Amino acid sequence: MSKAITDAEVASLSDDALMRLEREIARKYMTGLSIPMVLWPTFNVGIWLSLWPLVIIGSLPLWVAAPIALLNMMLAYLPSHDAQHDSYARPGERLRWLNQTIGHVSSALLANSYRILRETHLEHHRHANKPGLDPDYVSHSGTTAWETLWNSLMSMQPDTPASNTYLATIERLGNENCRKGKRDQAIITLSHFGILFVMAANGMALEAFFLWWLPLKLAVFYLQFYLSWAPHRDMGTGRYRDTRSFRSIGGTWWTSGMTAHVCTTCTRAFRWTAPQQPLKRCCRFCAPVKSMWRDANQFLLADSQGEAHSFCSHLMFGRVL
Amino acid sequence: MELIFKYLPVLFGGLFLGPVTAEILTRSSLIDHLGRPSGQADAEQIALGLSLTQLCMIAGALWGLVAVFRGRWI
Repeated sequence: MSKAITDAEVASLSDDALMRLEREIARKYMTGLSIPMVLWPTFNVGIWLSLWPLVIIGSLPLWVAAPIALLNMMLAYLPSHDAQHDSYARPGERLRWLNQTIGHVSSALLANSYRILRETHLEHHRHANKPGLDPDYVSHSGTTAWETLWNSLMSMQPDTPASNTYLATIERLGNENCRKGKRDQAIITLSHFGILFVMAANGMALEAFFLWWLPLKLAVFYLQFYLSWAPHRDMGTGRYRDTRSFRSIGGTWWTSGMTAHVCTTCTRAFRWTAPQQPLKRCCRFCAPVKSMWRDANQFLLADSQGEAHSFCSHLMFGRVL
Repeated sequence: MELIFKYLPVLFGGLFLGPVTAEILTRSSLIDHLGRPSGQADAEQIALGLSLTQLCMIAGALWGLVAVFRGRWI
């Protein structure tokens, strides 16, 4: 961390000045493409695809393949998320094709359109925790873990308020990407169910069930719980108010780094200065920012959520809470 | 196309959930509780002149139809 930031009287700085400090830190982390974040979706999709022939020819028992498939589904979202934020490459950049390929393929694993996930996720960032505008609001609104799981279950139903939020958002936005996203989603949905039906017709319904359908549903529970509800529950609206850090018995890895999800919210400045950086580097960015903010937020140390965190916590953004 | 998506739960119930249920019954010991030796029940007509898979597919499709009108599977 630079001396200028270390010595900054951050408590008395305006939001604009703080933003400038954040950008100054972020610039130091503007490095090249993250190879691990490219290998992650490559291996994840490759392993999942390889499960099918291995199980069908009997080389791999279904009871072994099913947990691997579940892991694949749980790991599929974050690369898609990074692509949604143009983290691999922005429009017009040389590796833009890579960004889009990772986004489309990872999302397809989850039987979702990348374009729809992107549009709804960006809308979530614009309106986090605002009823009627945040497409993920239903996922955040549970008051208990059980209620959240129930909300997830309702989001999987054919026609419930919880299951219609993304479609409502897409129709409200109504831009070209949304129209293409609806087309993509129709193709993906028909393909997804078509594959399930063909497998079932050939006496392999259980294989399809345990390699795709069930892992996908369980992954949705996981994703909505840890990537949506846990970082946003009981929070307000606004850049420094809509996301919280949390501690999980499973730690940072089990929660897909969502214990530090506040990083992705705080990194508006980071995205401006280092937009090609994926989530992984976001945390490296947050570490020095944490030091900067800690001084400004001593009064929040008594907060029950305010235990020190390995990456960053809402403590450091608490000055404006 | 809209019709297909509207009635997708019926297709899903009949063409996937039904066969999944039938396979669970036939590929596990659960089939023994239906009074049929394991592995043979599917080929036999177990009720109404229908095989286990056919019965499960009909049940799945009916459940899917209920889901279409209720908007929920459960």
